[in-house]
Amino acid sequence: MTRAEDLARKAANLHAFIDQHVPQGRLTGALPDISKDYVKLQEEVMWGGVWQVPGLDITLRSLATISAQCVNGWDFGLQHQIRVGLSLGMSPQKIKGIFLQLLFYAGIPATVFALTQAQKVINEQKMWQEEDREPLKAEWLASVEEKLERGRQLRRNCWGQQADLDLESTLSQELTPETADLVDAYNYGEAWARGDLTPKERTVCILVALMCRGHMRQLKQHIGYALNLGISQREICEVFSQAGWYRGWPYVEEALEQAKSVFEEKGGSFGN
Amino acid sequence: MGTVAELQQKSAELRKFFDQHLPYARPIPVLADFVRIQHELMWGGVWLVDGLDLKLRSFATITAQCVNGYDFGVEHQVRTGLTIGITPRQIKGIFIQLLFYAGVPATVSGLRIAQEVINEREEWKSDDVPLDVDWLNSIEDMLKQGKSLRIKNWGELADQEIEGSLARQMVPEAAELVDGYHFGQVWALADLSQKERMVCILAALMCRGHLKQLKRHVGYALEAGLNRKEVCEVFAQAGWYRGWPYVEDALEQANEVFEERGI
Repeated sequence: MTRAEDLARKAANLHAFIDQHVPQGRLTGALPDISKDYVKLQEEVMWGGVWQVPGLDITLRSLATISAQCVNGWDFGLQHQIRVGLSLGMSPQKIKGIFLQLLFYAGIPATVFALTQAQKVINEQKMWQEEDREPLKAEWLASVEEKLERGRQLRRNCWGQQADLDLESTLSQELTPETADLVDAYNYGEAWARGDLTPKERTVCILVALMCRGHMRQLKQHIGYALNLGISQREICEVFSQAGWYRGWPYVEEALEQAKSVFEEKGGSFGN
Repeated sequence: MGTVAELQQKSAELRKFFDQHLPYARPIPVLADFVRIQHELMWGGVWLVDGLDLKLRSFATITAQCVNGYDFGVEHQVRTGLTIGITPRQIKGIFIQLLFYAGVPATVSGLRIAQEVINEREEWKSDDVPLDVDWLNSIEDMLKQGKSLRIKNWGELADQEIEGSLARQMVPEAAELVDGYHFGQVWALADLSQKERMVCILAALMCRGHLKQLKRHVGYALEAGLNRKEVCEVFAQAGWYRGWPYVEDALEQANEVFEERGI
């Protein structure tokens, strides 16, 4: 049996850990005093509970949560979670990389909005500001064809041959080929080639964005790609359950339905 | 597809065209790489793909921004639309059309922002004249006019589907108000052409993920005079402002309609 007071204690420990990096104590003070009942509930359920469930690294939980907040589009939610991410040790460039990756899954306005919020938070602390100035290694290719080629290679290496075949033969490739080429070239060939996020981190962001917008057919495909990349079944399920708290639990049930059918098709036993 | 240098050059040309009409400071870039990608991709690429008129691209984009609901996004795209020659009345017409697809708050927010942008420039302000509208007096008259406009623009089948909707059966009073004011009153306004309305409707249904209804409306759009390529390009355009996975979902519906019709 898990007692509420245990959860409250675990929440306090996690807070203390995160707060060492936020000397102004912004995290604990972030939520305005709007409802004591809600704050108590949130402390226990989220910081004491969900964030500390085994099976998914806390930085990946933070990535998943930031992605959900990007889809939600609330300034207070984004700022808070960006602060959590930075406090957990993610670099400013990694945070920005999340939003650049989500450009292809949540659209330009969501990316612009989130980048603006990220910059505000980064500017709060000298340490973050300084890290933000370090240039990122990125090799810009000179033609769309080269980007497409590099993108295909990266995609095949990370997500497997089948993913590459699926994504080469989408309806957008057939019906709006010019634009589809631009998406693929700049997503897989340019954003992916940046050193800010690992393929695993990118895949987590993508799974969350697809879940949070309810694109179930595409989510199912991407669950297969995530497995090919080496993300475990448990991790995939935890990504959904983490993000679901920040978007609405019914999305979790829908996403898990897709996950379950992929796991069964692959024939592996669930839980590894 | 071409080189990045070409995309950059095309982007610079289009942006220069906008800038002569936009004497305002562009937002501070927060990530130089993103700005670079966006210029090549959007202004050099997507906005200039053949198959859909630039103004119709702007209609689709404003609609997606209306659904997103970010002030800065609606503001920027309203300014873009006015700059390429969409009239203030048409801009407002978009948000009034979207009332029936995105709801009251999205319309109110869109109109409020549109008015602020229109007030930025004398020539836009002086163009912002009220429409000469023949307001109908009864819901019955609106329903009658709406039915005939619907049959004329979307065909007999559309009319039957809409009259047989679950809303008409289960919440008939409200459904008649929607249909009366939408098809009978708003459609009779001269600010938007039927084709322009259709672009807004397709983009709104896609951006909210109403796939079953989207499929039907792809058929209505073909009846209303959009061609296959235009329908697809509306999705591809709006998708950049809402998330590309919506495009794949929408094209799946569209493709079924194309196959059923053998086009």
